[in-house]
Amino acid sequence: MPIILRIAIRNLKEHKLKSIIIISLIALGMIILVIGNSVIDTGKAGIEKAFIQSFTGHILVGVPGPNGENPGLLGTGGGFGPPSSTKNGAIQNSPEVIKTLQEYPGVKAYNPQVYGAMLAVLTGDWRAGIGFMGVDPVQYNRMFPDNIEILEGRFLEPGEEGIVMSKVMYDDITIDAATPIIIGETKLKVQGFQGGSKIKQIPVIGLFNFKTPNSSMQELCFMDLDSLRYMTGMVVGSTDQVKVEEGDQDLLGADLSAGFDSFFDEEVVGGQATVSASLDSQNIYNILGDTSRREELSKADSGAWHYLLLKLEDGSKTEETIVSLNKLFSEKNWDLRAVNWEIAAGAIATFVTGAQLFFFILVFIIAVVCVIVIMNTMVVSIMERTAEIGTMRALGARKSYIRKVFLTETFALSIMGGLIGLLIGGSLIAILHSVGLPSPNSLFDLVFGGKVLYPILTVPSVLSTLVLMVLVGLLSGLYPTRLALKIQPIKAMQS
Amino acid sequence: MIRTFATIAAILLRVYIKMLAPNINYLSVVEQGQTVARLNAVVPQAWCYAKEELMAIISLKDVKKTYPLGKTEVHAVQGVTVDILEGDFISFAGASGSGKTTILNMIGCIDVPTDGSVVIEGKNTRDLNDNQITELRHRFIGFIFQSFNLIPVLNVYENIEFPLLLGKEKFGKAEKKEWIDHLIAEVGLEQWRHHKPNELSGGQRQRVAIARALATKPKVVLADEPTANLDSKTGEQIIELMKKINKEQNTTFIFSTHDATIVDIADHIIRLKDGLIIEETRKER
Repeated sequence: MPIILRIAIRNLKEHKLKSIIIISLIALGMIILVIGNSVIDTGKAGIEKAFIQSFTGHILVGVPGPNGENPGLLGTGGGFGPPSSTKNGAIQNSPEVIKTLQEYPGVKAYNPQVYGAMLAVLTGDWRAGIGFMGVDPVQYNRMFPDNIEILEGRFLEPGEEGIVMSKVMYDDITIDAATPIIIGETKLKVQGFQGGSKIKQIPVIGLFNFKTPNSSMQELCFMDLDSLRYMTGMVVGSTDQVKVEEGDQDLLGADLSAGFDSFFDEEVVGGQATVSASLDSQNIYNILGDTSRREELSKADSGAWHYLLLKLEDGSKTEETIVSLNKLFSEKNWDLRAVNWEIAAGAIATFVTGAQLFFFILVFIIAVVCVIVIMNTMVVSIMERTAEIGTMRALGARKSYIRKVFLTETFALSIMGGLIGLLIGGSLIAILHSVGLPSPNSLFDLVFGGKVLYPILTVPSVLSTLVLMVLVGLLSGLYPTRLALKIQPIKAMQS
Repeated sequence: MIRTFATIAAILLRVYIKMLAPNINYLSVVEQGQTVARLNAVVPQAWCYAKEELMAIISLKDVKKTYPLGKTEVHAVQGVTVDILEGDFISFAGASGSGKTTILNMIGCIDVPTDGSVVIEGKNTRDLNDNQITELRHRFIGFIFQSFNLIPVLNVYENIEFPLLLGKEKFGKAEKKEWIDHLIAEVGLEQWRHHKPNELSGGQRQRVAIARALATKPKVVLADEPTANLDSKTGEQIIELMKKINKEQNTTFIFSTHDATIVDIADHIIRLKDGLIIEETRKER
């Protein structure tokens, strides 16, 4: 064993208290990091799996928002932004786009969807904001087979008008708003604002739950395509220029994950949605005269979709497929953008990223505290060993040698603390993995990706954590080492 | 007058040595010592100057050292000129505060003079950078400290081995072990080779320090009050050991002491007072 290592290890044994303090701190940091990383990673992996399998597929292709916002499952800009002003965010030339994407290399399945947020008008003054997905039932089942569990009634049949309501939303309406809903009988009155304010009564034909344990999307409901296109202004006669009042834009781009309560804002509910389409002579005639043309224009545009979801043969090729797709869109001059599940999920993924950020800030604070305590302990140790360092220098040790001695000591401490922390953290993760970590509230549901988390350890996570803790150890050793280098050989004589 | 004569004698001496051996640089230490001994036998005191000019391995020229002490200054050394010859056994004697340790520190290149020069192997130590000084210390000087200063976590063998691991020279494993074993035997610690410093007596620790000081085969060994922490009997034994090594290996020993009983063991005694040499005695070797 090299003499530097021998000196380091024996010094650690010699100064037991110092070693125990430093090793304990590093081990504690390591335990927090291992568990935190594991929870975040497993939660994120769970959310990723849930979204890819049940909501977004690997890639979402949609129309960017007017200010370049990314398209998302719940609208542009991750649900915060308004839909594109062009055809209410509908994909142009959709048959050609669908054909191209359907035949695109590596694409296993595709599913075009329409999305719309609207208000359900309930008993009394109650209003409930509901996000609806309009899907082609056949295509949806191909893309997301066995994705939902029908609790009562049935799922949509092709061409059938109706709403299939999620259990969570059903409970909200029937319990909170005290509005009874009888599946197969009740017609729900919904009010849409995109492309003009519309109210329609649509029968509730089924009650379902998503099978994925992810609670963040459990409030989403299904609506038949024609109704949803009508309600979201995707009609044959929809104009390119629709002026939507600012108050209504909030409603249209509302973020569902932020809570449907936002729809109950007095300002929003009480607001008057107005639409001012261009009033040319033809329009005036249509309004005042023959109404058949108007009826024709009010029919749902059967070729209009908000976005397409793609499932790939090989999920690991998602990013490169996105790049090549975006290149293709650019070449064909299509106003489309392909994004991954994370962007498609919008606010929910952002929330998880936020939780991750919060965790990293916490880790950073812990790391700083560790660095300060370790540094102090090391400084005291160096003060005690002034004569020893001076003697080494007098005997011919260069400064670089002294640096090696102390960095080896801090490295040894960091590795020991890191490994002990890893062992304890790993054991705790193993226990949590077997018993499951229940989510205490809905906020944690999002981070956990479900009601119960079964955390696992991944090799990259363990290695990166270990490297981080060793870096913390070495960083803590820098200042004390610098102090040690300042000790002159004459200190040997003065001992 | 004597100086002039000595200079002429030095020139003659060089010619004489050239005749004895065409390339003086290749004379062994022993041969050089014999030559000097032969000269010592035939020349009076004046020859000593010539001998010093030829053989001085360390020269202190009007060395001064001043330390700041609050708002005042302490003049620890106030102009010392000494030539140290190869194979010398020198003691710097004097009371506390006389400047012994300061002079030793400057000879050992762990301190620099405020004024004057310390010349080792023809180089002024003031002109060397930290790495050069460190390299010079490692190769040229061995240290014996008053408090032994052994590395507490290393055993006897490892403490002696330690300086050998610091230099550029690479020793074969067997060669290194043989040399360290020889040093351990030389200081009589064969039974204690695996013991840590805290398991040894003061005298034993100082023996380890002596062996460690000799590990790199330095030309000079500096010992600052080597007997201060030892009882008188052990102190004498340590000095005798140093003397024995000095005779056998022609290693120059420079030690400081305030113990009158061991001062006289030295061949070259320099007595100091208030940072100045008050007496310098050189015995016949």
